[in-house]
Amino acid sequence: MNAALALEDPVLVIEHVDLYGTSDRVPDTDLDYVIPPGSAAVRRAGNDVTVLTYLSMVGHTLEAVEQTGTDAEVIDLRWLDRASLDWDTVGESIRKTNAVLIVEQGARGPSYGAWLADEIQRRFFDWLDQPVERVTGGEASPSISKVLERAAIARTEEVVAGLERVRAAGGIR
Amino acid sequence: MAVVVRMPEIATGAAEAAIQSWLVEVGSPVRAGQAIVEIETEKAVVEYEAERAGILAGILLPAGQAAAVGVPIAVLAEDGESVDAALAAAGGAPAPATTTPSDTEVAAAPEEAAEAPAAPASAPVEPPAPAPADPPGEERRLFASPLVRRLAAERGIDLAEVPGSGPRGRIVRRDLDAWTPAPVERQPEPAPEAVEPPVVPASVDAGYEDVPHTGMRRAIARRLTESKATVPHFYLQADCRVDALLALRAQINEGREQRISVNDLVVKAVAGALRDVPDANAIWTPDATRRFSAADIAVAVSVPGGLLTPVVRGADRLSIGELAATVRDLAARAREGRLKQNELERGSFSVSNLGMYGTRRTPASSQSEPRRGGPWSRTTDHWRPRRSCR
Repeated sequence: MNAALALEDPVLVIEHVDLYGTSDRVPDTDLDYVIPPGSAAVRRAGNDVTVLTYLSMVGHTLEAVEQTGTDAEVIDLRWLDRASLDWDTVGESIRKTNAVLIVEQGARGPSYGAWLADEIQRRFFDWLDQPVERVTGGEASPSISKVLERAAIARTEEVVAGLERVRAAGGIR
Repeated sequence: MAVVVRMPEIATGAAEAAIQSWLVEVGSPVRAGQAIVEIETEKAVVEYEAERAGILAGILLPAGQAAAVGVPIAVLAEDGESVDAALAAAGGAPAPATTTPSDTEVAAAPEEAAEAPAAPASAPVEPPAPAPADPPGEERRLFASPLVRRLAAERGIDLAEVPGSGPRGRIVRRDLDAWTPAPVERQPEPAPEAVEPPVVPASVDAGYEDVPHTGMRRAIARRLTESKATVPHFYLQADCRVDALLALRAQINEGREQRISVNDLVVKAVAGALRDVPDANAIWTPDATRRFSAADIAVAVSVPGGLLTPVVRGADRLSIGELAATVRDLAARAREGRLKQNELERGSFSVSNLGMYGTRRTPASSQSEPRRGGPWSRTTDHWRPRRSCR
């Protein structure tokens, strides 16, 4: 939010309700601390697959990585728009792991990851060892029902399945 | 312009092959389709035909020497083109393989060293050709990830030799990292005809001698090891009274010129059993159990310097006389080293017989090569009629 306020351009800030209840650390000296624009954060370093995700799915992804014991590099994209995406961090990771898993919570059709996958295969075709793999919600948007909502979105279990697909495609038994 | 003839991939998945003999002399004209060279793979000798007409300008790989698939073995000059010009156009190289000691050293080094002189020599000849060698006549699409294709090009690896473990056999990075190049050069053998391994008299004081492996020995060892490593093994043993069988054989052989052996009868019996129990006519592959519709029985034939397992096709449908004649023919040609590659592939069961040496049973050594060459053989079944043990 600080970054959005500091910028003079229109900024869209996406908040996830699941994150409202979480507590985390912030720099305590500088109340005007700004996450550097256009910078992604590597939440976990790894060698076998680059997982690109954001917001609440970062936590689910880290859980899934823990559960499967995958040596995954988990990147919290943080800045999602085309102009600000941190291609340096993403590219460095893909050149190391040669495999990409995009993790999102929402429905597959209007998902954010589709254009990201498209851009990745254009930029890093020769570095990819397998097709870009994606974890998304279902075909439809969630409805107002705990059960239907769970069925429509992705959580840790779906990420675990996605990681297994990546491992299989990479010949990791 | 000059045409470079490359070592063809005779057997699917074979990494290397050896020249048995050149059928055409340097300087002689060659018709398209004319057999110009006999090439020996691990198990068979195949005549290789020229793809186009020309004059054999130079032989780059002399008889008796082996090279990796895709390595240039000869240069053809077009009509009117001088032999020297052709050789020059081909990179001026009777390059990598002449029988000098220094070359053997080069070749003994890992493949980069041996490939290095060959690759640049061939590059200017066929500009449009892709860098990895493309065996002529081989149109099979090779699945490899984009990363693997790039790395293979950088490292000069022929992907045709690398087994793929990804979806639909795609070669992925892990396969490339795990793959170690096959040795490019075999020990030169003194006589191309001989299948027998040349005995190198190492220094007598050493107290031992090293007998270089032949292609066949390597193949046998590799497949046994692969099989043990990749196929679940279990052993079932039973003793059979075969008095009735021997009596039947005696009856069949009365007045017969070409006698039926007990081995023929066992092959026939195995084939019938496989037809009756299709579940047993199957091999293990990484993704599925492969059941065969025909009973193709591989028969182990001892040959000088090794073992061959030619396959009797549809053994269940052959009469015992036909079967015996087929086995006799395959065995005879196996000993002469004249089997064709397709006669050695795709057996679903194999029968071997060491009974005459008093062997009672050997832990069956299943051998399978399901990935490229197709199943090679599955089970070795040792048997020995009691009565022949005197």
